[in-house]
Amino acid sequence: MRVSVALLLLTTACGPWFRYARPTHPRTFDPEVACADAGRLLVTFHGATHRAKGERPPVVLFEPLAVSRALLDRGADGGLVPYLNYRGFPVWVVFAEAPAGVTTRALGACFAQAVVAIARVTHAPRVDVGGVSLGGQVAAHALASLGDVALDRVFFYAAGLDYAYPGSFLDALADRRGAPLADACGGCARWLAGAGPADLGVLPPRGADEALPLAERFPGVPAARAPALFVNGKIDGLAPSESVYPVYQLYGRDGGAPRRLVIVGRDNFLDDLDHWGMLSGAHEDGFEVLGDWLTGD
Amino acid sequence: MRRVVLAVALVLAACSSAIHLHGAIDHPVTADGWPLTLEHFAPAPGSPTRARPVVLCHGFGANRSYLKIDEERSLPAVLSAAGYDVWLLDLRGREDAGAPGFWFGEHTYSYDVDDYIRSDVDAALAHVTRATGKPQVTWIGHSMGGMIAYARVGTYHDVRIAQLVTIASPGSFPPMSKVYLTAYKASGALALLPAVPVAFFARIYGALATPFAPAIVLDAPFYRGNLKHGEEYTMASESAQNLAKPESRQLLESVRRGEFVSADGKVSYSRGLAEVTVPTLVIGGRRDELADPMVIRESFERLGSPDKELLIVGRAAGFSEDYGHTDLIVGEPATREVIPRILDWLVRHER
Repeated sequence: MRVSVALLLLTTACGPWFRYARPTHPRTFDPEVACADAGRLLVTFHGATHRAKGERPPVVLFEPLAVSRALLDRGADGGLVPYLNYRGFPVWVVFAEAPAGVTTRALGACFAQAVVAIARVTHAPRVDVGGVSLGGQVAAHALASLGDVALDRVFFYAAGLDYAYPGSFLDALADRRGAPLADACGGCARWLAGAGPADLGVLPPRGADEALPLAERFPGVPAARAPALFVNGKIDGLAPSESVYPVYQLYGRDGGAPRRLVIVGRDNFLDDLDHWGMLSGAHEDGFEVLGDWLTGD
Repeated sequence: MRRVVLAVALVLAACSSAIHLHGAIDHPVTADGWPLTLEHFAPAPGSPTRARPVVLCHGFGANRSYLKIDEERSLPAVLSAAGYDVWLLDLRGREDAGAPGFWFGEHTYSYDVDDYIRSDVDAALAHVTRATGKPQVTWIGHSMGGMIAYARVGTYHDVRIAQLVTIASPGSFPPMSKVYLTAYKASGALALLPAVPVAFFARIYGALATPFAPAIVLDAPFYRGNLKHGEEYTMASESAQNLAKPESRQLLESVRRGEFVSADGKVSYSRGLAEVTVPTLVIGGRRDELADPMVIRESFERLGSPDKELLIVGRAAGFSEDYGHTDLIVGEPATREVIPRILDWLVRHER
């Protein structure tokens, strides 16, 4: 009895730490999806750490690409994945074995196959699908190939989707005169170690690709039927609001799917977050927006 | 009670003008009888001759004062020193041309944004072109000051505006943020008042130099990090204006609909952006709460101009800070980083 009380008190006192305590290490799962020159896609499974009322659908998300995927799960320091686990969601993080040289468009087609494989393994009637940071582009491309999968919800978290405008983050990177990647990313600098412009080769080639109308670049977006959430940090230079707004406007245009766009900033009585703030969990405002939406709160 | 009134009066009186840049004042009258104020800053002696004068227009809920808050480095001072003939405009209802009455008087707070577009811009352009002998001007508008120019050029096809610089001016509106949603919900209270007495509260705020409302309300117009200490109070004291109910309703309805529309909802000024074909510089601030870069980009893309530039001012673009709504044009960082970019664009478009 005393032990129980002591544990209860300890849990209460150290709530924030215990929320992220992980009972087990994530398990790796090979969905056997070959993906162009990227070798294959791999998956880590992160089980829910808290029980939720009713069953939560599995969340399948694509890794950030430009930022280390380790940022998604920093153990006791937080991260989007443990946060979603805490909200009762089992999370499957999909990543390419060697993404260099493969475009987000190609990765999107592979990601769709991985989602199909995960849906089959879990026997879940519906799945939530999303992408984080540049992984959002992968998720947006995947929508065109997810026809048979029952999607519960779709989300784009801190995702930069359309850089076809003058002075965009990619323009700034190209000239490198005034905007190093670290400035765009905010506090992400050390998580970008080794990630320079060359590592952003996953982005579809500029010029010809950007000349296409948005609906042709992301053919699955206008036809999407699942509700979608777009969440971006107010001062996120890597995934700024203007890079996501055109895709938000296009989403579900043909099928009338509900969509929502939330800027995490003072406009919405939240902290102004940059890319680091959105991904690190140092401020949980972004996580909460996503978690509340996924749970229907 | 008398002591309280006396104390308030003393505090307000103590808050004397901290703005020392003054030009020659004219009061042109609109076709429907409203006096405006145009403050004229002539080109500095010995400066280069420029092709056309510049009209500089303030935003919603403000008069022109904040645009000249820095005596040497604000936009009128810099442009004037660079040889431009600068005309700083006060739209109708601003005190320098005679404040409207709340209930009675020749003029009351009965005007909307359409009145600015139809009558005030027309009168200002007529006055400046007549006074300078130049048939066209460059229009620089901050916030609503840029929106009305979009409408004047795109919907009314006014050829007297040869070039546009818009600063934090949305040509349409994004899904409502909580700041806008709160304003929209509170708009029901407009029925109780003849106008929104912003100036009264702003002057107390400015005089006391103490926030008495939640930061979320007071900070929406600017990012304090880019202002010198005290500039926000000077702006509140000198520049805040009462809001007419019709103009407030028109803008809130535009926000609700997602597009900039006339008061009767029949004309979409947002659609008129495609008809804006003059050279245009579009500037937005990364952390602007009232005109998010997403709608700044959308406005930019809807413009029909073959010669247009977009500048989102923030750290990712190499600036020292992420800028908000008013600190895009006011404050030390703006004088160092933004105003020179405007001048550079104007000089490049001298022809």
